[in-house]
Amino acid sequence: MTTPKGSKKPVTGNRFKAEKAAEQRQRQSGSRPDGVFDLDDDINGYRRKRASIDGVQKHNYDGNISFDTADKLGEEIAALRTRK
Amino acid sequence: MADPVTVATSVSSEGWTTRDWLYLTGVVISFMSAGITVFSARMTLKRDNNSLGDSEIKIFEHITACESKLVDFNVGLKKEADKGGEGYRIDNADDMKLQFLIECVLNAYDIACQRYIDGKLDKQRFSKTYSARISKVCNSALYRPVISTSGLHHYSALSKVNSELNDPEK
Repeated sequence: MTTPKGSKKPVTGNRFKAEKAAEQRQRQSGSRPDGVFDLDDDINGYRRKRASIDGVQKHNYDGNISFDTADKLGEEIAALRTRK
Repeated sequence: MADPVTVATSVSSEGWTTRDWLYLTGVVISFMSAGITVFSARMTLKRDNNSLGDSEIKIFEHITACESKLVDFNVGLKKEADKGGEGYRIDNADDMKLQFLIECVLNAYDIACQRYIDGKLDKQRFSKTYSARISKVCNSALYRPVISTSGLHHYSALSKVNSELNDPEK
């Protein structure tokens, strides 16, 4: 079988498997060519990080609101209120 | 003996009758109306989600406005306390205003919790967004005395939701 000059060789079954395996190895090793961004991989990595050691996802409090400064000030005012 | 006349042979031999065309039109209209129903259901769902989102934003704005008023007042008190030193005491009028502002904040959270209990909010989103905050409010040195000293059924939605979201035994 001939291929036109400059075109890619047809991907045979074995070559396809080899490419997939290489891709998998690269993904597992964590190294990635510069400028390549794999959204799925990043999300899965984030999920793995969020999960506990036993793999069970713990409560995700990322969406919580907070008024920490107001709370700190409130504690001081509460202490003032209790002063008699 | 003649071959039995099947539907296929009758159609191919005689062509489509008016009744066939009417049947076909009915089927096409049915498919079109099914498509329109699915589409309008999707749009309704989307609109409902949007209105839920608007409602959540309004609740957050209300809570933030109340918290901001309380912080403004607390800043004034803190400045006076810093000037007055150890001998500073909050006077009665300021204490009453502080009490009122604390009640406003608690009312804002209570209203949000009532909507949560009534299922008028996305429960999962509410739980993710407010569970830790509600726990903090219910255990804060500023708010807790007001919650515990108010009437039996005051802020009951707040207490109930706090128990539901933050009680490890539930």
